[in-house]
Amino acid sequence: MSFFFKAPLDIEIRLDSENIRKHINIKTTHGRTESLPIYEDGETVKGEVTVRLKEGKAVEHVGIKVQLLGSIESPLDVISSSEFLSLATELASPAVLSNSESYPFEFKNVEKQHESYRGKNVKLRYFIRVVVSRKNKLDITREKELWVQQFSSPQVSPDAIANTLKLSVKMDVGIEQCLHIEFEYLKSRFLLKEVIVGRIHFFLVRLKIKHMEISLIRRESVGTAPNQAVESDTLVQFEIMDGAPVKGESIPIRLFLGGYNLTPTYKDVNKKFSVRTYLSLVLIDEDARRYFKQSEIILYREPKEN
Amino acid sequence: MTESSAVTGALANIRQQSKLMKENLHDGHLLQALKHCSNFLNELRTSALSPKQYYELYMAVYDLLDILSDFLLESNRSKQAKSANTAFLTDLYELVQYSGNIIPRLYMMIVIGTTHMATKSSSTKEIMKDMIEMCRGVQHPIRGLFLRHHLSQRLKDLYPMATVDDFNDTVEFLITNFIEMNKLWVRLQHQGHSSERELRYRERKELKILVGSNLVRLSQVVDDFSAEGYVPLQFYVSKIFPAITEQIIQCRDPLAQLYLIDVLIQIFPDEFHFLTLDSLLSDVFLELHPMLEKDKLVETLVERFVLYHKYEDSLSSETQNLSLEEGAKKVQPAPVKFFQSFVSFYQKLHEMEPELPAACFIAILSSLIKLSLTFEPTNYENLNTIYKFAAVVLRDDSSDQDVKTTASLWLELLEAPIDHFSSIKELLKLPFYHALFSKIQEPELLRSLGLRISQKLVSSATKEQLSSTEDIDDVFKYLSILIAETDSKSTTSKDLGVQKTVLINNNETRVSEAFLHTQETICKVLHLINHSDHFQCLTLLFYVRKKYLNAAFENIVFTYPTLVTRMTNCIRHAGYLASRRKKVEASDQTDLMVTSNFKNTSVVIDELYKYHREADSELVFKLYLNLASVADQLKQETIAYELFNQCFIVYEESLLLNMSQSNLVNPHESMGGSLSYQAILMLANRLQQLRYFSGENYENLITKLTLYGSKLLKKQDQCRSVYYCAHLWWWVDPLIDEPSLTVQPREGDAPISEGDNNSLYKDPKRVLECLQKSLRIADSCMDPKLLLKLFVDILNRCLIFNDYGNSSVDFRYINGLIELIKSNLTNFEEDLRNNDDEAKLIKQIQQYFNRTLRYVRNRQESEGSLGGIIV
Amino acid sequence: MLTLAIGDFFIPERVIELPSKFCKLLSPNAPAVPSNPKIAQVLCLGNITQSASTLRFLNDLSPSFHIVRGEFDNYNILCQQLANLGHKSSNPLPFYKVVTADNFRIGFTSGYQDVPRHDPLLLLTFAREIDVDILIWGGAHHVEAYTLDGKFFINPGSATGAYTFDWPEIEEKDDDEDEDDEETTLAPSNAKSSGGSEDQGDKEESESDEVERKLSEDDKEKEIEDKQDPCELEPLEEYSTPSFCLLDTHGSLCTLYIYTQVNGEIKVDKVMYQKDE
Repeated sequence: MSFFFKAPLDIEIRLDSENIRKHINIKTTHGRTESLPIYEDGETVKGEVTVRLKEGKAVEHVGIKVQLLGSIESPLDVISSSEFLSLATELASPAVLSNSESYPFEFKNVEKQHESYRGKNVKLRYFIRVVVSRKNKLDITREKELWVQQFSSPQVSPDAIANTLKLSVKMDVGIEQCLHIEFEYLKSRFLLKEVIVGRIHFFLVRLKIKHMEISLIRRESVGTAPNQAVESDTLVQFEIMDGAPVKGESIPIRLFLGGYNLTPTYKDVNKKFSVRTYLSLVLIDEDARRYFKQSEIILYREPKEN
Repeated sequence: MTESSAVTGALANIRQQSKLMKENLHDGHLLQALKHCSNFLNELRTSALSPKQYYELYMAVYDLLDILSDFLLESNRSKQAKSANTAFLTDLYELVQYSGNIIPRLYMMIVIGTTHMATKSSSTKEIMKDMIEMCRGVQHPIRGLFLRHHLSQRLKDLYPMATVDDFNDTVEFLITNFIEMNKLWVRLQHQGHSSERELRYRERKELKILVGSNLVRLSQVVDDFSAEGYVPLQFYVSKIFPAITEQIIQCRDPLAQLYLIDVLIQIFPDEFHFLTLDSLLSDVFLELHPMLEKDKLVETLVERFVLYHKYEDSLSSETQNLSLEEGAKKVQPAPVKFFQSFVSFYQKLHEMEPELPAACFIAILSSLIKLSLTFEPTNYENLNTIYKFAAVVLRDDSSDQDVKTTASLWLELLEAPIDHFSSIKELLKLPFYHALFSKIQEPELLRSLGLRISQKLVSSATKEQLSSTEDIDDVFKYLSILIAETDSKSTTSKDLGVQKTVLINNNETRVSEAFLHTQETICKVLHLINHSDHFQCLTLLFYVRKKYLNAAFENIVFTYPTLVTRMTNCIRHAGYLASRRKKVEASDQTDLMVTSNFKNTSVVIDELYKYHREADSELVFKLYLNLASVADQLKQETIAYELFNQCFIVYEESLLLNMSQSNLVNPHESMGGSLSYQAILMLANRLQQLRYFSGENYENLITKLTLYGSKLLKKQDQCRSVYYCAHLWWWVDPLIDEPSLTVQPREGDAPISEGDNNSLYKDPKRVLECLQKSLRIADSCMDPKLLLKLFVDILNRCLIFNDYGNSSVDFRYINGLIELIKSNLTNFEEDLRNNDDEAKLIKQIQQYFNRTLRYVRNRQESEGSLGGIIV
Repeated sequence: MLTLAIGDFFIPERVIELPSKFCKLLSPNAPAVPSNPKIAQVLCLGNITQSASTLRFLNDLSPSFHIVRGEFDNYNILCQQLANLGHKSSNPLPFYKVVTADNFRIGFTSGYQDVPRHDPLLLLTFAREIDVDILIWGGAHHVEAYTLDGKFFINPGSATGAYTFDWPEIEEKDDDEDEDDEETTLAPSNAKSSGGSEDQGDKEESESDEVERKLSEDDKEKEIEDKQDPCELEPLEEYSTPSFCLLDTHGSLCTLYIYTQVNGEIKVDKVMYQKDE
């Protein structure tokens, strides 16, 4: 729209103390990096909107409003886009703008139910939208995206977290007459900056194993079955063993997560999509055959300190 | 791509990446540097190289990592100087763990971890433990071995040792690393195709030092650490030894076991081994892989102990020299138990694995001998036990093939103590020593050992005597084979030229010098037979002859001369003693014994004559002569007479016509002549020394001899024999200190002697007769030159008798002879002008004659003797 | 120039080996050949009796080895052993041989073909016949060295101390035993000196007395030592004194060094001989 018509106004959205606020760098699909300010759940979103006239011509409008919106979008047709958050405030009543004008705004203690997310097939966005409405003319809008992170697991209570932390994951797997291993992770839920620690015990090795690695796979599923789009993405590939062990060996696993760009586990966000992470153990034999076992791990953002 | 080009490629890449790393380090771009470091470390992920080539890469990389480590240490220092922030290395340690590949990841972790440890950080031990734990991720044998080697190399001087806790952790670390490396090393054997087993084996041998170095480090650590209540020995026994040996046993790999036991024995002090000996032998050695050559292990252990003993010996002697203080006594278990430990090990082994090759058992026993000789040098019971075991093995070792292959080992086993003792009598007495010896079937072995024993006996400084039949049996039962051996093998053309040989038996038999040497050695052993009582000694000599020496009549020609000479000498001593004794008490008994010994010895000589008459009658003749001379010296006239008769018999039967050396005779030489001529002279010399013969018997003999002499084949021999025999009628040396029987007046005879000395037999007339006879013989000579020479010879003989004071050979007779020679010489004046050989010969005679005359002149001028001779 | 005179070994017939001290003394450089750097020639007087090792030992001492046959040598075997050592002459084992050293003609022989052997007059006659200044002979089993008619006569004794079946020596007074008159060119110390037969009779009596006296002394000593058997005497030496001689010649002067082993110790005596020009 604005491509065809030059808008007579410039709208600038400035957030309070934006300079010192934490930002996150997000890679866009075009390969550029966007830097977005990070907001938390329940945090007030406050700022100022400045409307400047171009060419000094006065502009008549029928009202200026600012909105805080949260939406889930998908390019696929498995789900329709939906807004799960929509707040609005009137900044100015209909008038003629002859000078540049600034309007402060504030959305107090906004509940932000979900975290921002940009996946292959789905996006969850929060943004501020300023709309200058004009009579018989297209509205002039300006949007500014916010990045929302939640610092405590939304799904479970802190008590439950504490319990599950103690639970280690142990799994006995094998191929009859060929392989029998047991792997063990100290736990199945991890903070994003945590370390996966575990061991693999070999009880029977008849395969000519060349090496072994673990990988982290992010699986994003959008929509509900049968109209579901699932996208898997290997985020990490990490060799943990070189050569073939013999019976009785146990191999340590240690994977630092902090260095990777991981996504916390999202389950049925707004009944629209889920993002899960799987830990996959892969044995590769001399003929390059791969034997693997996947298990889900729960990732969550660490609670903010104090 | 060939392996070598793989190395070249890898090295090139390492060079390139390392260059970049160094540049980045220089510019302070640590993360970039680490990236390049990781890149070159990636080369170590290769599977394409042999261990040697991999080692090349490793070494290249190691040096580069040194650079990195130094840089990190330096920048950590400067960072610490600026602020208290010590997290720099910790952060790096975490950072490198994001590395996706395990090999570069662990190498970098180790470099950073050890660098961190070097800063004396508080988390030193955690890092150490973490590194070794994470190393488990590399299960590939070669890569794992080098990685872990890298770990221990980097840690070399960094092991925490401050407290007992530290020490325990360090030991734990080293043992763990050792165990893991050993497992990898063993596993290497099973990599790849089974056809490459040999190759794998070789590769593993090249890598063994990587594994062993852990134990070396361990022993240093055990030795270095000190704390109150810490006793290295106890620590070894309770902790180190069980842990290490358990792994050695469990790995069930012969190469590893052999090598590691060897390392274990070598690197830990002997005191440690003394305490764990039983366990090491019974619990460890016996549990090892059946393929393993346990003899090698035992050998290593024993060698070690023997060395220790030598060292302690030299040490104790040194300390004794240095100070009188009593040095701290080292722990050394009673040697008895020591040996017992080995014995029970041997027994168990034999019980458990009787099918082991004999060589293995022999080698172990060989080591046991060494042990026993070192620690209990006089314990013959030990040796007996060992030989008992050996005899059992030999019985089991039934097939000939085996005996041949283990021959040298058997020999070694039996020979080992021979060198050790100064006296081997006790050794030879051991029942099982001989039992083992007698079980050996291989004649070569027995021969070699017999020779060895006899050489030892005769070369020892003490020269131990064999003074009883038991003693003789103890020794000679080992020599029988030498006595009986015949050396016919060396006649084969194969041996000719290789071995020097000698023809004997009238050139009919060819024997090697080695054979002669053996016989010589047997003869030397005969000298050891001795007894303070000479009659006893004689009995022993007869015993050895009857029981041993005459086992092979072919060989008595080598041994009898010595035997008979010894007998003759014994009789001589015994007889002298008996004659002295007679002055104190009359004893017919001893007289009888002397007589019978003479007879018995004569029988022995006769035996030699019987079997070797053809070729060695000259020898027999000489032996008779010796015996006859001694008989006279002992006043055994009858026997002496009989023995001289034997000489005559041998002479007539065998020497008279023996032409064996006649080709060498130059008739002009006064010395030399045919064998029979020599025999006459030998006899004459003996007869000339007779002093206890009756005049009648003496004259009988000398008359007979002179007659024999005059009947020799050649003129010159006849002539010289006769003038030499003239001396038999004119004694010049009394030789004894009492009047000779020979010159005592016989009934009805007028005293023959004249002059002032009646103890010397002198018959001037018979002397002259002899000289006249020889002159006649010379005169009948067809060769005028020889005739001349003989004349001059006789002239000189006449001068001697004139000098002696024989009035019958007076100046007139001599002057006549001189005239005769002079006139004969004039006949040659023509020939002398020539310058040929004949002239030379005549000239020589002439000169001899002139010298003779000059001599007479000198004597006349200086002493006034030889008066009346016109010169 | 050093010439070694040595003989009468009787290995293995009468003794086991050469005294080890002699071996060391004679062959300091063994097993190098020659094993003695100083000795120019070795004269062996025979009676090796078959010991190849002894023969080799002697052969290897110096660059030049000469040997004559002794009464008890096995001519056949010894010749072949010599041939095996490289002595390939037609008669490697003659009865006598003449060599030269400086201005001396030296003859040597085992001498068993003289009857009676060791008789000075016979030796002199033989020296005259072969026209030598020095005659070395063997078979006496004790050292003798004397001059007679301007010639020097030497018997080096037995190198091994082998016994002999000749009559035991009638013991003489030890008058000249310790005479250290090294300058003498005539009477050698420590050597039996017999200039001729003239004084034989006189000597005999005193010698007899000496023996008797000695024996009774021995008797007493033995009694003290061994009361059980007063009669156990040792009238005969089991062995003779091991000895050999070295002739050091310079022009017409010959210094004779006599080496003997007495009670395990090596003793050296010196006798000089100046040749009449």
